Amino acid sequence: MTDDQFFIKNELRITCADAVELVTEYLEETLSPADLDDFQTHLSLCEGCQVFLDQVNATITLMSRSRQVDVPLLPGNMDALLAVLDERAAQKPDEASSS
Amino acid sequence: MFRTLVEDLNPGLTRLARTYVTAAIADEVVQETWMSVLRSIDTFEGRSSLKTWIYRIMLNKVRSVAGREGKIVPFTSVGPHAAGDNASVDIERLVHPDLGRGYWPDAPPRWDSMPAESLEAQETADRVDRAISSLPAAQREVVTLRDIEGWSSEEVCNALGISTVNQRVLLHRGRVAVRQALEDYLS
Ligand SMILES: [Zn+2]
Repeated sequence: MTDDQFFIKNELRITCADAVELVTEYLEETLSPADLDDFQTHLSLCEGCQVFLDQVNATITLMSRSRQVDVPLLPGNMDALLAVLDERAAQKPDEASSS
Repeated sequence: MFRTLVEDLNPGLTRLARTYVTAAIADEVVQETWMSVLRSIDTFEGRSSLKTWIYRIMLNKVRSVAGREGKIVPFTSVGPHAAGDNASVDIERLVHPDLGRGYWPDAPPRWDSMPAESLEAQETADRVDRAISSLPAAQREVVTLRDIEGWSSEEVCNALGISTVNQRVLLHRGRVAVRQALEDYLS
């Protein structure tokens, strides 16, 4: 390793391979202070990892939008469920009123 | 009150169930879930929230149905364990001409700054859905509940019965796999 390479790696603190593994912990705010410092220092100097973090955030946004809306609000057996509920209430009138 | 509970939870339960089995089977599983909820409500001990308790009932049912159809990956599996497969970025991509292994040679292609028409296109949403569906079950459950349904990590740990560390690992694996699928599709 040349002096230059040694200097750059030293400045970057951690490898990109390690930094990308820390992205979710960074977003969850669960990194230890020392790891957070390494991660943020690396990020401030590394475009590749900045882009990667932006893209994980973009992925999260796209996933939140992908929420399917064409799902039933009520289950198909809602009437049967309500009937069971009524039955239970009829069987245990005392319990229902006392509790 | 029961109706409000059903309206609150039925869509999310159905979305999660549909990541395991066909829509028709998923809808049946969710119907059975509600029936079980009514029949066993007396055994609910309030140690978890009612929501996570109901999700656990649904997950038990849908996992066993999916298992019978041979569509399930063991829940304990965190994902593929082959060397390199577990990395957030293919290690072969992280080779810098001067710095060597472990460093980006160039930043990844910036698909995330594409115009909104591409990012918000229906095909992109379909691609995201497909990427989520093809995740190992454990990752899919965590990603669906956290990033689609918007649950907290604590709620997800309760519903799935997993540790916070495991939850975070599964979430990370799932997110980076979907990121890669988007890069492959959009770049
Ligand atoms: Zn980096």
